[in-house]
Amino acid sequence: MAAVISVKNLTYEYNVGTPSCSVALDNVSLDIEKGDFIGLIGHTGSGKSTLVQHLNGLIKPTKGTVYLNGNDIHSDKKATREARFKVGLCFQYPEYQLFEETVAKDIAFGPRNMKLPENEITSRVVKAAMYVGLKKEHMEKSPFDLSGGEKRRAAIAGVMAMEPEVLIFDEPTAGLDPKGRDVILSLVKNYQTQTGCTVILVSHSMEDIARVADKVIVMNKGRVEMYGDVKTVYADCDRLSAIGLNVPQVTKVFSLLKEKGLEFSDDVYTVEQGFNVLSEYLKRRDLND
Amino acid sequence: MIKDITIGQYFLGNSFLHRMDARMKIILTFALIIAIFVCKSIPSLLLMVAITVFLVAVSSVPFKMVLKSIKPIAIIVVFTGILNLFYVTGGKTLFEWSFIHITTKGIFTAVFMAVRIICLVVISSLLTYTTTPTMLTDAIERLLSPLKVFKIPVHTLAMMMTLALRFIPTLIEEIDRISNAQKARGADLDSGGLIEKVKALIPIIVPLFVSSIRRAYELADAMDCRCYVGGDGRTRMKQMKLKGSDFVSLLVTAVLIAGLILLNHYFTKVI
Repeated sequence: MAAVISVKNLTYEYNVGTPSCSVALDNVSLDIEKGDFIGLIGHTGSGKSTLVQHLNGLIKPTKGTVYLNGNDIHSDKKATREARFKVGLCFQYPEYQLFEETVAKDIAFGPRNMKLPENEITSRVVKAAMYVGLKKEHMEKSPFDLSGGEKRRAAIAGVMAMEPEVLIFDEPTAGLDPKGRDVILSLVKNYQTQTGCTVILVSHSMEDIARVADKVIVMNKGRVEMYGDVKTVYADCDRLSAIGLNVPQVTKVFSLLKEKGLEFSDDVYTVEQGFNVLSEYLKRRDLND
Repeated sequence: MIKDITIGQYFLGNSFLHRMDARMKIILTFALIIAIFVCKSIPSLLLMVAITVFLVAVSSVPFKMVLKSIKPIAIIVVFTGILNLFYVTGGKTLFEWSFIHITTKGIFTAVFMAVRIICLVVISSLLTYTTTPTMLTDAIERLLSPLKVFKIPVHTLAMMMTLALRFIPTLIEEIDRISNAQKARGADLDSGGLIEKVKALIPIIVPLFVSSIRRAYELADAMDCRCYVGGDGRTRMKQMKLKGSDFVSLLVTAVLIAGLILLNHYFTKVI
């Protein structure tokens, strides 16, 4: 499949020319294929956020190039602006960007900046609200009257309404309770399966990524440490823990059980999968008895 | 653009000026600023310039940073210079053409004003370069404490100042974050005429206000939780004590200002 975003030898340095100069990204090259759901994981300061801000042209690289569908996004102003619309970026705590009088108007902010016709804007707003599960009665409220979780969903809808080819979420579940986290993750997953667009999910949580992503990029100290499908990357336990990332607790439990001689598969990354594997095992055991 | 703002521009160092008691520093800065406007003869102005240069030299603040503090006022200096040159009359007329008169007094006034403004800005920025914002507000609070007699809430005012200074970097960061988020939604902040540009600021200003108010409430709660009740009965972690060297500086400054006045008195006043 064709790469929708292609990053070549990307280097970014903060505060160039001052004593506090530091390298945030160090010669990063990677291809992101169309239609993939990619998890981007790494420690605080590993360069995750800096990398995703390069992908829609918010940050200009110190060295290297970002190609979107084969075009350099910094070749001219028009290309950069196009990248903004084709690569949607939803920041951490996106609810702090809400500003309009009503939720509907706020979701329409992106499409309106794209200079779309009015009826197209309206239909996109309705569609985006549907994806995030906002009801009709929410749409005419002030965004500041919504609950915390609703605010976040409204803000996510604001990015979805631009209908980008690539949608990037920078830690969309930060600061939410487990239930809120589940809601956001499943709506992101649903959106991806329904529209077939490319999604990049930045997260701290190996378990969250295992639950929704097909591929994983592991970043460490401004470099891409690993890039592959979930199973391959998560199998390399030693390498992950060497850079301070831990495989999900369930995975650990199951690999310990395997060591004890029970026959389990290696690829258990979420509690749900664990539950299925265990109940199957118990069924089998009952049958044998 | 926004990162160029340097308020609370403290420059880390351990010079004589850095160690001086902040209260004394404020008083002496004020005294020197008043003294600047006393200078009316050439020798007294030269002495003032010498004092300024000396202070910069002992402050260990790099010369480049001092220049940076003058840069924003360059336009004001040039503008007042030109105004004085054309509008002040007196002394010998050097040049005359229809409504333009250039006189010796005009030239002197222009030069004096320029030098005075530069000295004033350099001396007052040395104060902020060598004193941390917290020390500064602390000192201001103490200097103003006699006003408590008139029921002026000096402590509260000082606390407000400290908090305002403390939140400048936070707000700058916040503006950066919000404007990135809106740019990601296609907000165009750079092009368009004046009205479009002002309109484009709304998506940044509204969230900024909302989060500032939220932050203020959170801070108030946090202060309440730590039993903050204002200035009454509050003791200090850092006691300010005047040292011998502070009194020596006071004495030296007094002598210099007396010298300025004498130089003014014995030489012809040119403006």
